[in-house]
Amino acid sequence: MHLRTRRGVTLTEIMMAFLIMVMALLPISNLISFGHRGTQKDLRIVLAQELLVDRMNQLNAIPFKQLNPLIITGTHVRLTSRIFSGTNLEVPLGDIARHGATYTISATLTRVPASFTYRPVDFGDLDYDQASATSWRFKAEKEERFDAGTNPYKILRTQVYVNWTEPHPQKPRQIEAVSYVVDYED
Amino acid sequence: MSHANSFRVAKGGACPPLKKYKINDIGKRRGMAIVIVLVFVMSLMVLGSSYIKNLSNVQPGNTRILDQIQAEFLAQGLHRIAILKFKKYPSDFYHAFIWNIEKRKGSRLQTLSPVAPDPIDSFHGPMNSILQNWNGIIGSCSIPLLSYSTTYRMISHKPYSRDGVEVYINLAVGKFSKEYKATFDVTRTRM
Repeated sequence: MHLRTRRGVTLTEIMMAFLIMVMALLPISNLISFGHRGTQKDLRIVLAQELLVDRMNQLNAIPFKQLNPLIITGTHVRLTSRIFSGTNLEVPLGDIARHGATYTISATLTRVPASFTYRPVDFGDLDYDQASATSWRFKAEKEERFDAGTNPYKILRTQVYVNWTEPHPQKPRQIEAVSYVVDYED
Repeated sequence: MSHANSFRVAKGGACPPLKKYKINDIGKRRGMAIVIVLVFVMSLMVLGSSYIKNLSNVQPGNTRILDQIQAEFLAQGLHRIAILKFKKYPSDFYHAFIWNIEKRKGSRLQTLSPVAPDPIDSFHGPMNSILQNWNGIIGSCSIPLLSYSTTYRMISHKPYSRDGVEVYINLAVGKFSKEYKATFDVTRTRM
């Protein structure tokens, strides 16, 4: 019979093809799991950034006169647990579990000394005319300091830290942000 | 000759050689399975490499977002400090700004004594002061802050009564840099 001479795909060919396919699929499956781990890691970073923004906004919305007394000694305090509990100024700090990861949120408040410079106009000058800039005389530069010396502190530095641990490999991570709260009251 | 005729001939007479069927051509398809698998594997490789490329783009994106968040909060804080300074010395800012405009117009002004600094530069503050690139601005934070500066501008005024003031903060954090502007309307009341 002529059909007997027909040669198709042999078992050896199929075996070899299967072997090549398996060898190619192994790194691809690793790649997929690597991608999955990457996505999980990104999700943890995004959540940490979300917590950072939240706590910074909450902390910076508190007026200076309420934040400043939290510094009992020195010029610095580290806050690791909830502050202003049960009030509308509450800021939840400490451990928070989200999507299988535990985030530790803390904040620091620091009184910052500042000095402001300016050149005052000599209002005592007899030629001074408020409507004409050409008549204005400026005195020498003055510097006023707000460092608990002659004037009290007016500026607080607010810092928020979000810490968590990356599981693969175990690695501590931290993100942080800094802002300022000031005392507008005289 | 049609197929029907050739079939009839085959049935009735001697069997002619079946050249038209070209059965031996099938034998030329040897190794097709390997070729198919190689094409399949190659396409998987292309998909995989584009997947890795996408993944590597996500990581720097996250860093840029963090830089932006840090810059925004720092700019908010610096705006508050700038407003505090204006609130403390509104009349000094008003005189310094108007005087500077007259100076740029080329008006004949009173001689400054001492000559430096220009009143508006003095109001903005010297380098390494709290509003101008102070190296202690971020404290112990590890923010990649490169530089910052603060500038005031008056956009409208009614002397000793009402001012429209703009505060510009120029910030560069990591690969992110931006000019933040805050406009505020100030009404002065006699105490």
